[in-house]
Amino acid sequence: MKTKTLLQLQIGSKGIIKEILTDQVTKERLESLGMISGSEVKVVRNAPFGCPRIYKTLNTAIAIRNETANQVIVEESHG
Amino acid sequence: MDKNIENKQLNVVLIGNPNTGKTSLLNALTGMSLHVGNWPGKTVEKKEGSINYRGYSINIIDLPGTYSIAPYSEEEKVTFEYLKNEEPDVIVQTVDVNALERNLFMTIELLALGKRMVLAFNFNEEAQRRGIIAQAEEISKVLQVPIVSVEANRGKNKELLLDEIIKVSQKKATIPDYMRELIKNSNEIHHDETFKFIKEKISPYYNTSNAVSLTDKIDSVLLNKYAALPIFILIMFLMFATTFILSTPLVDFTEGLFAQLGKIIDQKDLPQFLNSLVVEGIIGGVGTVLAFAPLIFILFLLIAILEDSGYLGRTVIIVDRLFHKFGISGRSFIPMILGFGCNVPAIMATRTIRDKKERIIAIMINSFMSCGARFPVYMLFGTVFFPKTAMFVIMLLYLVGVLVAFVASWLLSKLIKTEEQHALIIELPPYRFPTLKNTLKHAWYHTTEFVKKAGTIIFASVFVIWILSILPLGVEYGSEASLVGQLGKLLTPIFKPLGFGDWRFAISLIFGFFAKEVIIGTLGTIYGGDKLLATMLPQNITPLGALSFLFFVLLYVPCAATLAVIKKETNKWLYALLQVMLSLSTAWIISFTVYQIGLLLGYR
Repeated sequence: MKTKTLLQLQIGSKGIIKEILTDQVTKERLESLGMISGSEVKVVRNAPFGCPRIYKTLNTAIAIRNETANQVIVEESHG
Repeated sequence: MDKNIENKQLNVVLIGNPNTGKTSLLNALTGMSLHVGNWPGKTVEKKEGSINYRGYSINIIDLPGTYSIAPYSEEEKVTFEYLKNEEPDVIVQTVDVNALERNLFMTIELLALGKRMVLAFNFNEEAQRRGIIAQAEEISKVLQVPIVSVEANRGKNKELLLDEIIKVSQKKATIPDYMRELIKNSNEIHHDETFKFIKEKISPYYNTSNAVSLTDKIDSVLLNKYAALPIFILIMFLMFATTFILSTPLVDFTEGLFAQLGKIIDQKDLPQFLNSLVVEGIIGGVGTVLAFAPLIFILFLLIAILEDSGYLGRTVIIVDRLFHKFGISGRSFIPMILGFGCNVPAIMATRTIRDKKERIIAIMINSFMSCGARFPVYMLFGTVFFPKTAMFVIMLLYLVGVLVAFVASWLLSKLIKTEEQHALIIELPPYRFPTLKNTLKHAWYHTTEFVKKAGTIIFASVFVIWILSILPLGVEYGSEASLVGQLGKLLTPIFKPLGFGDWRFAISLIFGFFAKEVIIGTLGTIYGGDKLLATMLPQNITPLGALSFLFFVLLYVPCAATLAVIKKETNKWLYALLQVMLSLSTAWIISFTVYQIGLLLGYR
């Protein structure tokens, strides 16, 4: 399966989180908000200036900056 | 009294993710009326209340919302420290069933501590409307923890919850046996293991596949790529315009009441000394300030709506990219907007900012955000000197305050040593319709605080000014020869180049340090009343001078309470002192520029 970073996912598409490559503190923060290895993330929309982007995971909307999203590895899900 | 002694004491603590209804629940259980917000970080301090129920005296503590028991930012440390040092009888975790799985991450962390727990499932009706199904009974069996479904904002099922708390308090605290499985490898909880457990064991009883989200639809407009910023600006514009337009007739009315009261007392043939104290001192000073109570009410009502709807939390991401250029993040924006109400709670709200450097900047720039106490000053001068354009003059002042805050944060971010940059990770709470009760409560609270301030600090300042106005004995009241006049004259050289060289303005600014409302309280006292103020002011200052004065009031120095909170939150007097110097010089330079350029352009 081809993996991408979360940032590479188009708006509206979904992916399953495979790995989080940020520093530990950020990783734990992402995890406690539901961005955790194995969870499905949907890209909802861009903020006005294209950053941060809004994602939805575990029924929660989360905004994270693009540089962080670029350190989250996902596997794009289809359908 | 006897009954109370027999009552058994129970200590209960409310813990949970942000925006899950902890403060609502505390209010519902204890009958308190703390303000509830809909953005992560609303509660930054421990709050406490108690209730007597079925022979128990139950003490309930509300902790700031947190996503994990390990702290991330300053306000989340409160929860961490509490769990480390205190031994509550029962932990109640509030759980938003709309995001059950995420909420359960913390449940597992708490269960691993082996404490007695009850889960309060909240927002069940909202979840039902959205088509989310959570089978509480089954989930309770899996987790081996009692669950009570409540609606915290209405207090629904609060008795059931209290009964359960009492029941649990009598049991022995244990760690559920499945927990051994979860912590077998490393003796600590890992999110990965927790998530696996939740997916396997809880998901069968939790169905979100049919969930519809109204929030997404609203966001597609309010956070639209092109429309978001204009909509935000429009909302802010409407907020101030509404405050101004609605409060103008109301303030006129209350002003009239005080003027009437002054007249009645004037005719009462009181001893001259007493008459002067009441009419000029109290009604002239305190009355001038109190007349603006309706304005405070409306302003805070609108800010509460902004908070409760969920929009305030979203402004963070609208501006994040922009703020980045000024050395801060979108996180700083919530305290800035709250600063339009009052800088004291706004500065406390900076605890949600994890980066120390950014937090200091957010604290230092907050008082440039024009607070509700300055609004009456603008309104009074605005209506006297710029009757047709007052609203726009006031908005210009607000705007300049924001711009100065930006420039200051840019400068400060260059000056203060850089620490590591932290990522911005923020939950966007669902939009919720603000309840009338909660918003009115918020507005009412701030209005009563305003009235209390009028009865204490403003009254005291006005009293001192009145004394200084009648001394030395025999002097003409409030004249240049009186003590207050002489004192003011010492400072006038500083303000002359700014266009308000009259001693009265110097004095009002000095006393305004105690509270910004005192500025008009002082002038009201010296001029002997609100109505006189309108006719007398133009004799001592030109419209251009008045404009320059307003800029000075906007920027010149944080009030005493704000300085105290700056010291408290930064732990250093140095920052409070720096703040005074920074703002005084900024105010002087800007007022000077406004006045001198105005003169050059031929205004006066």
